[in-house]
Amino acid sequence: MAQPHAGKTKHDIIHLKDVKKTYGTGEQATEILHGINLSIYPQEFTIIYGPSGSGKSTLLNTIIGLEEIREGTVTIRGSVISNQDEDTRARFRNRNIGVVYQSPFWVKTLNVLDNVALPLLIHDEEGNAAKRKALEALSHVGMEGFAKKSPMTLSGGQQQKVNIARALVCDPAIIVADEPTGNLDSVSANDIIQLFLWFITNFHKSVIMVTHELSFLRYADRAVSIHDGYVESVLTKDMLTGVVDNLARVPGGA
Amino acid sequence: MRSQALFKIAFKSLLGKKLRSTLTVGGVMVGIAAIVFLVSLAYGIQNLIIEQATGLEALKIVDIASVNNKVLKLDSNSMGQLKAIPHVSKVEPLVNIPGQLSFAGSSTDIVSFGASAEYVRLAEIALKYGDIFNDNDNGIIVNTTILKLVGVAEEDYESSLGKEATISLVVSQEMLADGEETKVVEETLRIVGVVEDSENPYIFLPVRILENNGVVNYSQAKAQVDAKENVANARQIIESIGFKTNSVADTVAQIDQVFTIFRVILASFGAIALIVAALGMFNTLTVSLLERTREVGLMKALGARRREVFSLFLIESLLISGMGGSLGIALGFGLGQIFNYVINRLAQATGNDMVVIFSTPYVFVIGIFVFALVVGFLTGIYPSQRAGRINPLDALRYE
Repeated sequence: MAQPHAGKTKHDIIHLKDVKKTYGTGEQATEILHGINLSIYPQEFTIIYGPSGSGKSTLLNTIIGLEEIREGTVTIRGSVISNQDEDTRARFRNRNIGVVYQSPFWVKTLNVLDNVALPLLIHDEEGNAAKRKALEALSHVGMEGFAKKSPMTLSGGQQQKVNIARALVCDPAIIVADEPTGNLDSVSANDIIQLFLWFITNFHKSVIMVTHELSFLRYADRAVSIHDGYVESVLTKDMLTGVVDNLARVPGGA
Repeated sequence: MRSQALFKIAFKSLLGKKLRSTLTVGGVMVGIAAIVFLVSLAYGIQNLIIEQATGLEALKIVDIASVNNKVLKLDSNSMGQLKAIPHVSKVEPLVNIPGQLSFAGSSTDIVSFGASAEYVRLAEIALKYGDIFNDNDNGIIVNTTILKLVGVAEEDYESSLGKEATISLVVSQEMLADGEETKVVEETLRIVGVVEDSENPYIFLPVRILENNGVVNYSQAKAQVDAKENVANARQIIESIGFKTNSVADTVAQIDQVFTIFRVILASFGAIALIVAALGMFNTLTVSLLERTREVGLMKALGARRREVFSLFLIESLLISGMGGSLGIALGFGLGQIFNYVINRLAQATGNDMVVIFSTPYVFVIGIFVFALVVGFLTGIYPSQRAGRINPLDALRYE
């Protein structure tokens, strides 16, 4: 396994140690993640890639505390969250991690602005302050003009931008995205990637993106390859130069 | 999450499904309206009966009698004692003596009540003809039974006023001062009032006439208390002296008891409608939860805790029941008022007295509103708990 040399000079923001994830119990138990050890570093664009069913989404959900694990530890910004209860993990996620899914989910009866404000409201923020911050987040993704619209009336690319604004609204240190470009055309997909890169340089966010779109690896500071529940390789930016073009030619790549 | 935000999201979610929310709120409204309408009817009829059975003044009256004439006599001495009781504004005695009355050439057995004019007023004796006697005159009040028995034709009842009648009363020993023997008292008195009554023949005569003939012990007395609220207290004091008391309030209490049962029965009919509404509400909440499983998953993924998701659904349930309850109260009350209006128009048209058939006490209104909220709470608690327990990952995968 390739070791990132950058790790020796930077402290990791997320650390996974011997993380095992099993679905089902007893005879039917299936281990999806087989002892993952992984570090993710601040202000980097980390891409987790691998074929379907490799366990990359499970890994992502484990990182953000939606998946419960029985073995191993997940440490985020110095706090071990894997041994916390559901509610504590939920609160931690609310304050530290913005989540972007492949298909955006909405509270359909709320407009774009209220949907973006939702994490702040969950964060006990006062209504007007929440709206103000939500509008600001929308302006970062260029969607402030759609604040009063229902999210269901927007195009896929627009929805995904609003979704990203929502992930950004609580000003979390980490943004995770699970196949955020999966449903988008290449132009919209590229917009999303550019937004992530901009967040890293301007707002010092750490972005972790799960994808099977290998062409995006050229933007990654670090690329984690997952195969059958194992970390196959971790490549840093300088290691990636040169391999990206080869990887991109793998069937299924862009 | 702040409750303000929870309320907003819950309210918008109800607004988002206007037809379904309207129907569910409508169901609760009908249920509550049925209860309010029927129970108001029960209250109205109860009030009507109590008012008819007893004037409001009657509720302030306490009837007093001696338990044992030999031990504790109801004489002028004890009258003074009774008058001194706080809140007792008047005490009027009554003497009850059997005898005979001769009028228009024939005679009949009667019961005579020696009383003051005030007593007759307190007893709310309604005169058909004439007036109550003056305490110092020789006037008497007879009932129509007597006139009928002595052969006066009904059309001549009024002309009996002012005519003289002779009574002879057997005054027993126990009414007289110690040592005196039972004696017969004869008096010729003038009829001043006629009471419409088909029961036993009786007359009222000024108690002074009997007192002049040596009567010192009274059969019973009526005490008037200054306010209804003080009656219970005054009765307690009177009974502690050793007299027994009676009050219309006892009858009223019995009527109240009967009507409590009546109300419960009527409310049960309304409750059937409310149970159906509660089932509808349960259904709505469950369906709404199924439809919004992903939303719940999303909220949890964004950091909402179980308790917050639980509260969100419970608030929706309370909003439905609260709105349904308020509208139901308005509808039930409104229907009652419309009925009152229509019935009174009919009553006026037929020359009858105005009546209030539907009466809705405000305590009942508050009670039924709280009840609606309780129903909402109980109905909402299970779907809300289910919502709180939703696993966000399953929910987000849910199609």
